[in-house]
Amino acid sequence: LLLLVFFGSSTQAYSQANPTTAAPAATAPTAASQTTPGKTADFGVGGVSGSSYKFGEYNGLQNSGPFGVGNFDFRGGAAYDSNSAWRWQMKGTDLGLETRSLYAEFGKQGKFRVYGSYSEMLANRSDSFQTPYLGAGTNNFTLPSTWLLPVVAQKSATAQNFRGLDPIAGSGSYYSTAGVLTAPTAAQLLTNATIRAADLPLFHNVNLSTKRTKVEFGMKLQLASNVYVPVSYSYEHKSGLKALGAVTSQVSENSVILPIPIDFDTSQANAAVFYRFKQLLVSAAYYGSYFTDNINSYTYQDVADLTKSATLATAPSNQFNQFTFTAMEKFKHNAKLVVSGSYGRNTQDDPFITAAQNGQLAFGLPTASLHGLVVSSLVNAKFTAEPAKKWNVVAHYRYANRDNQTPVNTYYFQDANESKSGTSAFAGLYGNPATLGSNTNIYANRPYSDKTNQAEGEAEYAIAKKQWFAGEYKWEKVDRSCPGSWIDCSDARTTSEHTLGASWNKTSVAGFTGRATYDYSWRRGAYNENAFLALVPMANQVPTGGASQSLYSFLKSTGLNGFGPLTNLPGVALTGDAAIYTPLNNAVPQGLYGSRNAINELLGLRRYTVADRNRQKAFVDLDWQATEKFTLHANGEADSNDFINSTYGVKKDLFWEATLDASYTTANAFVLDVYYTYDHKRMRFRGDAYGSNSTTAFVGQAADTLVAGGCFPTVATKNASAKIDPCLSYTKDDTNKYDTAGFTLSKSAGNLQLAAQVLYNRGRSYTEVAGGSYVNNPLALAAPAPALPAGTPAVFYIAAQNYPTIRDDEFTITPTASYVFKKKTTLKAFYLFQKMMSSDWAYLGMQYGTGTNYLPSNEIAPNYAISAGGLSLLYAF
Amino acid sequence: AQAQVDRSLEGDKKCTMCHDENWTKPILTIYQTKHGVKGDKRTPGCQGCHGESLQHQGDPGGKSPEVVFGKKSKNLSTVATRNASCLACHENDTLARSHWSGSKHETHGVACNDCHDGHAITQKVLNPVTQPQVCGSCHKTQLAQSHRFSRHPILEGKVTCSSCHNVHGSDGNTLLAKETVNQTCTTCHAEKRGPFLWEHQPVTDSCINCHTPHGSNLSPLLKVKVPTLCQTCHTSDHAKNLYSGANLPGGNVTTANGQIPLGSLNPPAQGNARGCLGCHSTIHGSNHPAGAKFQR
Repeated sequence: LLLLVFFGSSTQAYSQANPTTAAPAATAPTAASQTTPGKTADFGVGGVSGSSYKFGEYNGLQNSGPFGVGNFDFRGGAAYDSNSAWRWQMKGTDLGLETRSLYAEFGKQGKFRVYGSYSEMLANRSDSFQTPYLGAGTNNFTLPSTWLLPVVAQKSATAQNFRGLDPIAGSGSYYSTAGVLTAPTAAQLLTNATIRAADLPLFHNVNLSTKRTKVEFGMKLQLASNVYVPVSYSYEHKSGLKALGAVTSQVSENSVILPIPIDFDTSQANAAVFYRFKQLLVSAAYYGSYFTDNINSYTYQDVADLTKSATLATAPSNQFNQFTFTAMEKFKHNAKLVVSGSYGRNTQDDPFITAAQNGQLAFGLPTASLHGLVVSSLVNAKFTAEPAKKWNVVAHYRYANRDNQTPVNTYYFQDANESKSGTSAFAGLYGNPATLGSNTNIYANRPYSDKTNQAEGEAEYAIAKKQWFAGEYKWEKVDRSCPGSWIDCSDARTTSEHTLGASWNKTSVAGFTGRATYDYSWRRGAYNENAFLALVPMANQVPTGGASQSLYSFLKSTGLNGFGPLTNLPGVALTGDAAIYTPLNNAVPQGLYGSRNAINELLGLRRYTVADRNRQKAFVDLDWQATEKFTLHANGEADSNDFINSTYGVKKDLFWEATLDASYTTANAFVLDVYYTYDHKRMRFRGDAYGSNSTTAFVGQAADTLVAGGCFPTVATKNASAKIDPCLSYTKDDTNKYDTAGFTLSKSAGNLQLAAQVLYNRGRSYTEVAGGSYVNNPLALAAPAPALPAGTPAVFYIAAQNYPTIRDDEFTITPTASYVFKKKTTLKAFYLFQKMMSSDWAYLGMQYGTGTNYLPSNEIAPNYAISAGGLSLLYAF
Repeated sequence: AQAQVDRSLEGDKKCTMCHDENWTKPILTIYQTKHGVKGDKRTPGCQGCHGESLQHQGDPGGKSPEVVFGKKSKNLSTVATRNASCLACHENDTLARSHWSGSKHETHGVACNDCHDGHAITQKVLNPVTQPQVCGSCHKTQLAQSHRFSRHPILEGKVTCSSCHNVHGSDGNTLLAKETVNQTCTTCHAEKRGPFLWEHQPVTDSCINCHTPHGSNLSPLLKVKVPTLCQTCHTSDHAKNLYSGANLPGGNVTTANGQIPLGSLNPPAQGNARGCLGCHSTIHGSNHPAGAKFQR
C-alpha cells in the first residue's frame, strides 16, 4: 500500500464534493471538537480501468491499474483561549504522486509566519504521437540510415511525396504527359512498396508530456503594529517533451513535427514593505522573474535530403525585475485616494544561432545577441467617495507603457534550406553585401512598444432602498510604435475608444437580487496599410533595374500600398516607375523591397486588434431566493463587435451566453443543484485569393481557353482581371457552440454522507466557407498531349466547402460516499466515470497518406470511456 | 461602534451561551481560524463582526444582531453594512485592501461573505480545488468553460481563479493579478515573455488576441481554428489563399464536371492537420536571426 501511495495517481480533484481533508462528521459535536485544531490522515487504494493521456491530462490517472490515495492535514498550536498565538499546519495532498503537493507553515499570529510548499503539475499531451526521427529527449534529431525518400513513383520518381507512405493513396492512377489517366506500373508500385517497407517500421511512438516541479518558501513579518513585511521565493523546473513543427524546405514547404525536449528553470522572488501612518498606507514591493532555457537550439536532418540539416532556436532565457509602490489615504465622506505605480525591466541577451550552426545566415550577423530591453511603467490613480447620501462616485486614471528599447538591426538570411539564387536589386548597395541573392531576405527587427492612457468615471445613485442606478464613461487611448524603426511599424499608430455605460442593481429585496448593465463603445484610429515596410528597410532605397525612386517614395507619391492599384490589366502599357513597381497593375514585386515573400496585405484589410469598431455589451443577472430551500438563478450576456470600416479581415464578432441554475436545499441533509449553460461565439471574416493580372489566354494549348463557372467565360478575360475577380473573394464564418449541463447532489443521513456530480459538456466548432477557386483541367496539357475536345473547359471554378465539424462530447459522473463508523474514523469511497467522444479534422490530416508535403505524426483524437474508483480511511486525531 | 465591542472571550460568551456547539451550523469552529486566536489582540470576537447587538441580547428571538451575514436570513444586512464590518479591520491595518473600493466586485455589490465563511476551518474559496465552485457561483460561464476540451488545470486545483485574478482589486484591468494580460500569463509561461528578435505584434499586444484562457473546444485554448485564425490578419503570399474543407480528410470531395477529383490528391498543408503552425511554429516570437517568418 505504501508503494501505491507513493507511486499511484491523484484523486483529490474528483473528491470535491467530499474533500479528503475534511474532518469526519462526528455523531455529536462537542465544544472541544469544534474549537481544537484537528489532524486528519487519509490513506487508501484505488484503480483505473483504462489508459488515456487525455483522461489523465492533469490528474495523473493516465495509466490503467492500481493507485494509492494519500492526503493529510495536521494543524496544531496554542489553544484558542490561551494567551499564546502560536499555530502550525502541515498538509499533503496526492502524496508521492505526479500531482502531489506538500505545505507547511508555523508562526505566531500577529508577529510572523513562515511557510514552505512543494508541488508537481503534470500535463499529458499525446500518447499516439509517432515519428521516424531518432533522438527524442535530446536536441539533435536524426533519421535512420535506412530512411528512404517517400515518393509516389507514378507521379514523380524523385519528388518527395508523403502520400506514398499510404498503400492506397500512394497507388492511384495519374495523368500522363499525354493527358491519359494511367494506372501505375508494377515497377512503380514496387518502388512505392519498397519505400513503405523501409520507412513505416521506422515510425515509433513517443509519449508527449511535460511536468512542472515547484518549491516555494516565504515569510510574513509583522515588525510592528504598522509595519508589515512579506517575502517569498519560488523555484520551478519544467521538463518533458512537446511537439513542434519544423519546416525543412521553404520551396516546397515540407515540414516535420519534432518531439522537442523542454528543460526550463524559472525562479521568482517577491518582497514588500507595508507601512501605515494614521489614515495613510504606503507600500513598496519588488517582483523578480528569472527564466532560463537550458537548451539553446534544436538541430534536425532534412527528411527530404539527408545531407542537409536545419537548426531551430529555442525560447531565449530572459529576466524581469519590477518595483511597485502604492499609497492610500482616507478622507471624510468615505473618500479614498489610491495611487500606485511600477517600473519594470525585461531583458534578454541570449547568444544568437550562428552562421556556423545554420546555413541560412551566410552573410553573417550584425550583432551576436539581441541586447533586448523592454521597460514597462505604470501609474494608476483611483478616487472613490460618497459625496452625499445615496451617492457613490469613482474616478480612475491609468497609464501603462511598454517601451521596447531593443536596438534595431538589419539581418540577411535565406529562407529555410533555400539556396541563394539570382542577384538582389540591392546587392552591393547601401552597405549591403555584393553577393546578396534575389531571394535573400533583408529584414530589420521591429521592437513593438505600446502606451495606454485610460480615464474612467462612474456615479451611482440609490433610487430606492437597496436599489441603485449607475452611469459610466470610459476613455482609452493606445499608441503603438517601434522605436528605432525606419518607418512607422504600427497598423494604427493611435486608437481611441470611448465607452458609455449604464447599470441597474437591486440587492436582496424580498429574496430578489438583480443586475442589468449595458455598454456602448466606439473605437477609431488612422490605419496605416504600409506598416509592413518597417520590416524591409530596402523599401526606402532605390533598387537597380531602372526605378527613379524608392518603393516608399513611389507609394507616397501615388497613394498606393503594396497591393498596388485595384484594377485589371492597364489599357495602355505602363511606363516608368509604375511599370516597375506595379507591373500590369499587380502588387509590388517583393524583390524590390528585399524580401523572399510578398508581405503586403489586401487593400482594405483592417486587423481586428486595432480596426475601427462599434461595440455593444449587455449583461443581465437575476437571483431569486424563492424560499429558504429553493433558489433560482439566471443570467445572460451578449457582446457584439462590428468592424465598420474593414473591407477585409474580421467583419463581425458576436458572443452571447445564457445560464440557468436551480438549487434546492433542506438544512444540511439534502442539497440538489441543477444547471445549464449555453455559450455561442461567432466570428465572420472576409478574404480574397486575388491573382496577378496577365495576358495569358490559354492553359496547355492555344485552343484550351474555356472557363467553366466563375466570373469570366475565358482564360483570357479571367487572367486580365485576376486581381479584381469577385469570384476569388471569400468569407469564413467561424462558430463555436457549447452546452454544459449537470447537477450536484449531496445527502447526509446520520453517519453517512453521499454526494454526486454529473456533468455533460458538448463543444461544436464550425467553419463555414463561401467562395471558390479556379483549378486547371489536368487534361489541359501542352503538346505532345492532345488539345482538349472542343467545348471542354480548360479551367474549372470549384466551390469552397465547409470544414468538417469539430465536436467534443464529455460525460462525467463522480459519486462519493463517506461513513463515520467510529467517532474518529471515516470510510470514504469515490468513483469517477468519464466518457469522451472527440472528432477533429486536424487529427485526420496527421495520418499516412493525407498530405503531400508534411510528415505524418499519426496522432489520433482522444476517445475513451474510463472508470476510476477507490476506498480510503480518514482518521481524525 | 467598533471601539465599544468586547473582543475578549468573556465578550464572546454573551453569544456562545446560546450559539454553542449544538447550533444549527458550526459556530465555535471560528476558534480554529485566525479570527479566533485570542492570543492575537487584533482578532475581532463575535461583536467585532456582528456588532454589539444589545437589542438582540435582550430579545434574542425578536431582534436580530446588528450585522447579519446569513445569506438566507430575512434580516440579512446590506452589502455595505457587511463589508464595513470586515473593512473596519481589513482596510485599516497594514494589510489594507487598497484597491477594493471602486473595484468591479465592490461596485457590483459583492459582499465579503459572498465568498468567505469566517467560521469555516477550511474556507472553500481558499482551497484551490474548491475555489472555482465559489467563483463559479456567480461566474457560471467561466466555470463551464473550465470543463472544455482545451483548458487549464483549474479543476485539479493546479491553476486557480486567483492565480490570474485579484478579486479584491488590482492595478490590472479585469481584476488581473498583474498589471497586464501578458505579465499575468508569463508568470507561468515565462518562455513567451521575450523580448524576441522577431516579435509578433498580436502576441506582444495581448495573449488573448488568439487565446481564450478559461477554456476552448480548440487546442491550445484558441479562439478560432487555424488557418482561419491566422487569415484574419494575414492576406499575402499563401496566406491569401482560400483554404476550405474541400477534399480534406473527412471533408467533402469537390469535383469538377463530376469526374475529376481536383485537388483531392493534394490537400494544402496550410489548411490541413496543424495548418500554418506546421511550419510557422515559433509563432510567439523567434530569437533566430533567420526566424522573421516564425519558422525558426
